[in-house]
Amino acid sequence: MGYGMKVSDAGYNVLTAGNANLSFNSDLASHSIYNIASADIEGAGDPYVDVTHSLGFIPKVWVFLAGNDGDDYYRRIPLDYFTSSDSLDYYITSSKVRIEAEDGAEDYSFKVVIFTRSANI
Amino acid sequence: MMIFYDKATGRIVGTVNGRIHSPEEMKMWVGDKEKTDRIVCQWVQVEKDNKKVYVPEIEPKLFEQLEKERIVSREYKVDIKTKKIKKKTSGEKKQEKADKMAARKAAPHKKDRFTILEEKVDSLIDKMSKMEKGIK
Repeated sequence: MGYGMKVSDAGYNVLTAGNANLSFNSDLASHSIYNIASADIEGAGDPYVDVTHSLGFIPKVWVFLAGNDGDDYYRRIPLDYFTSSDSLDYYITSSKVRIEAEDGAEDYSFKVVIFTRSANI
Repeated sequence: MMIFYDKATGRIVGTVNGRIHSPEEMKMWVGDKEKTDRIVCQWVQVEKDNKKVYVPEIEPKLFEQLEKERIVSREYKVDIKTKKIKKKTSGEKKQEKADKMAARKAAPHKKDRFTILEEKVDSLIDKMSKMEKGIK
């Protein structure tokens, strides 16, 4: 039997949880994730969406566009489509992540990964 | 899991993933707080076959399924009268698509970047042609 340490997310049994449901696994390089949210921009509505986190500091954040071109994919943003006028970007403050669509004519779904660490360290 | 939805239409605008949300996580919100509301499902520990397992405290089958969905808003919406999550019917999906097409047509649309570039190149060629004539 090998050695190591695993910490599961709340609500998961650490002995049976897969890596996706572990907060920490000494076998893998781990980043502490505060939470994963999804957020949509509707073309006919506001050309932005906010994810409020209330951490009180500016956290590290990754935002991915969730798309499908026959297969599901996640594509990182900021993203600039040359073939249309769509430009997707985001900024982070100590209380929220704002995702913006320049054109605002299309519908977009995003995955937002918020880390527990400050963007400064 | 938290599901955020438009109070006027029931459209799902986002989710916060997870089974047990701490008071800190409960401060999270997706969308405009004035226009949206949320449904929160915490998972609770129960004893099953002499084992302690976690199950969703409301609508267990639905929330077990929602946890597996990549984009919840594509397939589900909230009935604003009952405040319950329901799967969109194919008729509702078609109507949604038609409404979006109509809104897109009504909204002023920007030129795509090929058209902008084409116009810039045409304008440059025109300027160069005029300059050339001036030189001659």
